[in-house]
Amino acid sequence: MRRMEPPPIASWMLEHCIPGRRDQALAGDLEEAFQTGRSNGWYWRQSLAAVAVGWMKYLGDRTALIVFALLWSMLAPAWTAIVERIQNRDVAWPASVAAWLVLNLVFIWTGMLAFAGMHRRTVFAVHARKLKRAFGVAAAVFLPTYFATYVLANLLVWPGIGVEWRLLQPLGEIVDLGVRADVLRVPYLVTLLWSMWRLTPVLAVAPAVTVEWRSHGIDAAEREAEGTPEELPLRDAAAVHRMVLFLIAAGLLNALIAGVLLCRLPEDHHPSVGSLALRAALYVAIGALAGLMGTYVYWHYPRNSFRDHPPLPFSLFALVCAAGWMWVPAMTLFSEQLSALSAGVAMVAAFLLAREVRRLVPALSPAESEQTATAERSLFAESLYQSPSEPYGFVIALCLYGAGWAIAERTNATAGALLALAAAVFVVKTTVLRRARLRTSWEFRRAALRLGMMALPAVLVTFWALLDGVAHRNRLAEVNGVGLEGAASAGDHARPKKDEKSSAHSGSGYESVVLWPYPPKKEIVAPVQPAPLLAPGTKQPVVIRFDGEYWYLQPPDVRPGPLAHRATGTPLDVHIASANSLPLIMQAHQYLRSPIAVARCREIRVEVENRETEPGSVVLAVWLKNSSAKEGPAVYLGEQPIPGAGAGNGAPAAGTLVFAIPAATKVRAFDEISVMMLPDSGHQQVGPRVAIEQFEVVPR
Amino acid sequence: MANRDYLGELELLLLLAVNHLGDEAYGVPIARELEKLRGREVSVGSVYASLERLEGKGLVVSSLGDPTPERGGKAKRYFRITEEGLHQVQETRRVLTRLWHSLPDPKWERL
Repeated sequence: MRRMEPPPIASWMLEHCIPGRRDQALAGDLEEAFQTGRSNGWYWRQSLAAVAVGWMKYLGDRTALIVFALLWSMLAPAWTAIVERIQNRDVAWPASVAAWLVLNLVFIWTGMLAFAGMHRRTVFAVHARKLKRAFGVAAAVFLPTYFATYVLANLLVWPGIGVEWRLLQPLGEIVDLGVRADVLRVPYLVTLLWSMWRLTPVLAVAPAVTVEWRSHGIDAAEREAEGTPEELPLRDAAAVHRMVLFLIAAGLLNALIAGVLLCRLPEDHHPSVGSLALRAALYVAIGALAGLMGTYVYWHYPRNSFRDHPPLPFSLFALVCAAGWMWVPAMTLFSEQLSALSAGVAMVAAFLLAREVRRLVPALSPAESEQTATAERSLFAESLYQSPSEPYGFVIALCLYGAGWAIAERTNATAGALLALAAAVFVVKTTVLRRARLRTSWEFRRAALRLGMMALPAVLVTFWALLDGVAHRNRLAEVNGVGLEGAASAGDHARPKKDEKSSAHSGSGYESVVLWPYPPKKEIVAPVQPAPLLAPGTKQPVVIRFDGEYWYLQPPDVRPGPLAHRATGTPLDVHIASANSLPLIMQAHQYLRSPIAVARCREIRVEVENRETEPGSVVLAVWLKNSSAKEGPAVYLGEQPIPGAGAGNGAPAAGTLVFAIPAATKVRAFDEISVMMLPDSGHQQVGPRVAIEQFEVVPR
Repeated sequence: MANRDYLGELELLLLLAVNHLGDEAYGVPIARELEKLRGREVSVGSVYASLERLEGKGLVVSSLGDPTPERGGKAKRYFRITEEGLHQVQETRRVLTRLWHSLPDPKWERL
């Protein structure tokens, strides 16, 4: 006898496992069908499918939020590193926690605003009150979530995940996918999802539109008078957009070529302000004109449909686009100086250009009519459930993410392209469109006024790029020891003098320092005895007393320059500090008389003396190099914090750091041991008071 | 205002089934109608998901009927096609007809 009741577990799942609004009708339908003779298996299949479809719909409606929250929380460790740097450690407990909480909430709220900004029309217009409420929810949720994550992480990874907060590098943290960074991301992810879950707008898919327009210059009255039938060329909106993009790209390419070829720094090492301003204005004009020329060529190309039926006058299009192209010279000038500002200028230019073009292009497209809807769209292409498609937020987030990475890698061209793309996409998705008819005369006035208003900041930024470029070039010349012959007329004060405190970095102090340890370098003492180590069966470690050099540098230098100050002393006794805002880099280099095979070494022990009282305030990193291969690979042995000296009578504390040497490396032998002192963010302006005593190379 | 997006296969079939069933258009008959048309089992959950999407577009409307004992005391949810839904179906038919005009004759293909 067949059961008349459906499987109870499946019925319970239908009742309780479908998220969102419970649909009694669905359960009733399944039960009715079951009563008419459907099997248990059918009921189970239908129940499971209903649960799956319900979850797919529930999560699919929020795909944009989930992906955005994941991407935004990827930045959380970087933000944590920044917070650690900017937070004042002298503040007492309640205030310090409050400040920390506020800083983290600023990060989360910024993410919420960014997400809301991407859906401005839906969120701000409809859900503005919910957005305010979500801010409050985030403030209430973040601290408990953070605490719970901390407790769980410590329980699961006992005795907890050790984090040396002060050593975190923001850019490095963005791409850190380790357990520590991922755990750090969890509370931010949960808070974003929790607070924004009910706010998520249901995104509408943009309809396909076919547009039509009349040719300019021939109005309906003229057609009627001529007796010619009115022919309206049918055009796809996508084709219009493609053509506009192509014309803009052509102008941009031309402006870039002109910027690279024509926009150069002045020859004079000390040009006057007036000449720079004039040059900046000229360059801005060159950028705009070059862009116009590029567009003009393709606009009047015989195969271009715009040629016969232009949707708007070319002069109007040119005026609109010139407001973007005139930033190109500043961009190229900054790019030649390897300045990240080139990416910023590219972003601004793309923003301004895209905003106006976006505003103008819909005016070319009359409101869609049902008679002109296209049929050339894929039919029967939809699946059972179609999730909302809104990729633009992800594109922007990925572009920003990639741009940050590119800037860190000093590939400013890539960063500029990504930032420009992000700005353009942002503008395209957030500009409110007005379906107004194109009023040519009014648009002309507006475009001309806008171009005039934009010209002044463009000239100022180009002027800044020129000024910075000249200063950058002069600075490089000084650092490289190149005489400034061209500046002789400007006065001898511009020429760096031998043995004079260089102004390469700060205007005072030395450009770099080379410190020789006590006693002065002896020629009769052989620093190493590699022969016993290389001999088979050797078990005794080779002791190398440190008698190399200490280097004190500032970025971007990688070695002391020709004007480096040379002195004798030990880092324990000298006080060398940065005279500007740049951090001070301290390195120790021990050169060996003959190379040692890396494969024969098991580990290297570095004995140090330390006068830094805070434990872990300085991290020591070791490289093994082969000086015969210039700029060749080096064996990086890792980094370890140096134990603190402790509170005592001021005597330095001795310590030994052990670094394992991998058996297989790209470098077969080394004849130089390089040590880099990496102080924490609070001590980067002062040379660490750490001295290398000796190295012990232990054979394998 | 309804979305001007075109109908997918399942959506078109659903609208046709709802129109065909008239006052008896609720989950079970709609699913059965679809099974007949497609020749395979249809998930009632998917049918409801698609109908809700159509309702969101304004192509169908739904209303709850009275609870009945054979359904465990649960009410039926009746669906009805709207004017806009009807227009969309007609529009899709017009487009399909136009496209089918360019369909080659299989006899010519064989030759």
